[in-house]
Amino acid sequence: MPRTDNKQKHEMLQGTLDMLVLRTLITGPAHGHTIAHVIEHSSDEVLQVEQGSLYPALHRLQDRGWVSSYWGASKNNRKAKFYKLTAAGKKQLVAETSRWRQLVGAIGRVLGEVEG
Amino acid sequence: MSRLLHRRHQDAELAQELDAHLQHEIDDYISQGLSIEEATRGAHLNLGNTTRIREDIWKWNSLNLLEGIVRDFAYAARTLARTPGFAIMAVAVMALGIGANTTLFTVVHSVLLKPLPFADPSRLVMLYERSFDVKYPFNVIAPGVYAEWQKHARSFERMAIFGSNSYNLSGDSGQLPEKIDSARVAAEFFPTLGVKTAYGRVFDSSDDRAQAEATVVLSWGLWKRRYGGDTSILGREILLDSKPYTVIGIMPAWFAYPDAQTQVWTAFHREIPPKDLVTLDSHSSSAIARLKLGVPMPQALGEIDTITRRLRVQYGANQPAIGIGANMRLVLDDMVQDFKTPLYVILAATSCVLLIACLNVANLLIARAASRRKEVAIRAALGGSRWRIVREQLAETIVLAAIGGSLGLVFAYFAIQWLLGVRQDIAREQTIHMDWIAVAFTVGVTLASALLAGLIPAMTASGKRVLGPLQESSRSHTGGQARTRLRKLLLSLEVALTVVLLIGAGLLVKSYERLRSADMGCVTDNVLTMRLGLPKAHYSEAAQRVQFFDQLLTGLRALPGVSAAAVVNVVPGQGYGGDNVIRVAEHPPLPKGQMQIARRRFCDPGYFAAMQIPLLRGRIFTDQERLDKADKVVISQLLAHDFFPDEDPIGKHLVADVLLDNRSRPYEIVGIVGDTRFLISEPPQPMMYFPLCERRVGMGDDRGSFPARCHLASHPSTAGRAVAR
Repeated sequence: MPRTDNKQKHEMLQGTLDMLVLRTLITGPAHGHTIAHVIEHSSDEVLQVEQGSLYPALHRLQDRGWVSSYWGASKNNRKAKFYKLTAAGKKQLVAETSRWRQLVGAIGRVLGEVEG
Repeated sequence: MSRLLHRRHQDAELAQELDAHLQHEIDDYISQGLSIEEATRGAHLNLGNTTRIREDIWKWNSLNLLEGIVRDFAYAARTLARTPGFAIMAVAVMALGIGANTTLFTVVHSVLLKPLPFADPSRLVMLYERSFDVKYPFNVIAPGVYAEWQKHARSFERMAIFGSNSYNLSGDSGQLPEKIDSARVAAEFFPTLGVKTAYGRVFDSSDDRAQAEATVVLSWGLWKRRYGGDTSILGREILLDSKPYTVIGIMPAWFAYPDAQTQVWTAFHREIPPKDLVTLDSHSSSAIARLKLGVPMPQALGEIDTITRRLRVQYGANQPAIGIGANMRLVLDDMVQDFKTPLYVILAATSCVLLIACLNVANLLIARAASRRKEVAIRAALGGSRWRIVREQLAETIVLAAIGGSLGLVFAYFAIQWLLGVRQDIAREQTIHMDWIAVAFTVGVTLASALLAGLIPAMTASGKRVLGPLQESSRSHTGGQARTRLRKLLLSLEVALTVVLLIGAGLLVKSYERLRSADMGCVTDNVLTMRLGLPKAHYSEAAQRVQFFDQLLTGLRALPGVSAAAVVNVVPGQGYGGDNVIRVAEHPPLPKGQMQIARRRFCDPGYFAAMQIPLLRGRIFTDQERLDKADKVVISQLLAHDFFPDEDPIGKHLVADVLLDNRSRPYEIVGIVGDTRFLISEPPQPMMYFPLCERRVGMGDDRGSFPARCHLASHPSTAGRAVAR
């Protein structure tokens, strides 16, 4: 079933996609299709990867030196471009994760004040 | 950049990648039991328009950088337009800072750094003697010493002696006569510099000897102005000091050496009396030399130094004024030495001003950035790159600095025009103009200022604490600790720089005050000075000249508004003016190798009253005690103090060759007057005043040019006009 009509699912906050892609790649190299699916599955289908923005994101990450890429064969035995996390990418992931936690904490505190 | 260059290859790869993605998606759907058509449709729907993705990435690769920069600048311009007060202030501050720096750089570059227009100027040196009293390490040279250098020194390709003087250029066909500055140069002078005439020829060795026909080389300016740029002047005769000189050459327009005022060049060895050519202790000339290729300056200096020392050992006992050694410096250094330090000091000062301007703008930006902290923090949290945020700030300062720099360039242009108008005494003044190097300098300074002013505030924006504002619950919080510390630092820096500038300015004002208040030893308010030269042809006898001055003074004193008038050969503050070795007739001879020197002046008896130079003791010589009866002298207080420490000088005799005819005569000291300064910046020197003497009125090194002083009660300018008639 195509998923584009599913309105309850959330679109991703800008900037977080990069972080999620990096997180996915920590388990090993993957190609674009797999990355999208892994993000969706591990968020219990809450987060939807806009496939149209996935590839620009991958491109950007590669340009910044956080991932590298190579052509290989997928499980279906099709040719696919695999992405692999670089050392710089790992560092970036750590940094972004901690920053995200801070942000969430901060927003949580702000919302907590409102509720209080 | 590699993105830009490889985007075609990358695009092809991306097309393949997207295709692979579609295939995987289709495989998925088929495995879920969909038909091929449905699967293909679904896959395409999910991915969206592949061309669009490719276009996006293509654009990102090609335009992201440029487009981003354009967007930043547009954004910066909008931000600045919203705060016009801040923008105008910042631009004005930058314009002044950059403009002042460009002006000074242009001057420094033109005057100090640009090579001289002569062939291989790095080998051109000026030669000097070290004066016997060690006071003047770069003393002008004695022709006799020069002759020895020329005979024995091997380090030089060529050397040439020259000196400055002036001539009365007689008018032909109804033109007025005029006094022109000139240089007397040896035949080797032009070849040493490596310059050729525009028309005609320069001196050769046959022109440059005592019995040669009189020849002259004209400057381009004089030739154009006085002779209408007509080359038929070559070979014709002009009258200098009423004597005929054949014009042999015309120098090109750019040639201005020894200075821009020089209008004619005559042959040194023809113009100087033979006895002055061999003197070892009369320092009157300059010398320029070209080092041989590969000979270092110290080696050449060592050579002429040895020669000079040898002369001193040989003749020093009888001629104690012989130099104690030689000295040398590059011609360029020689021309600009008086301006080097002041120019670098002012350049440093304007750099300080620019630095303060940058810090000010930075400070203003920090203050303003405080209100944008939350916005910046949220953007940073959402993944907005720090570089972007820094870039925006930089764009803002670049816009400010660029506008400031352009205005500064205009400012500098006018400043230079103004400077050229008011300071025509700067060395190499004619070379000062803005060129592409100055413009490049301005661009560089502008960028540097933008970076400096932009990066300081950006440092706070890009710090690790960028998320801080989100954690601070208080909304009225305006600045974190780091920011405050930075602003404090900036402020102290500014204060420090300002203090440095203020101290410099204060010292400048103080020395100016000292100059203003320096006691010249005479009255200087409402005093007019004029110089005049009497043509020797009409006033060949000293008595005729003295009579002329008498008539002139009588006429001047009768003018309404003129309270006193007098004549002297060199007025206070005008400079050196000549000196003599003196001996006190009543004293035992000085030990060998020692001597006493005093400045000499010639004046009429009314001079002291007119200039209000106080008579301290004795009397002034009278109107009758002059010409052949001039055997009295008035001395200054300092001379009395230095040469007669424990006795009364009145009635004693000074023995000196005042008339420069190799005959020393005794002069009776009749009076002591107050000290005057020969230069405003120098302490007074021992001075002696002689009456208007035979042979010495309008002769020899005084060249018949006598300033007359008028002490005017009425407004100087009205009386000045009357005097001119």
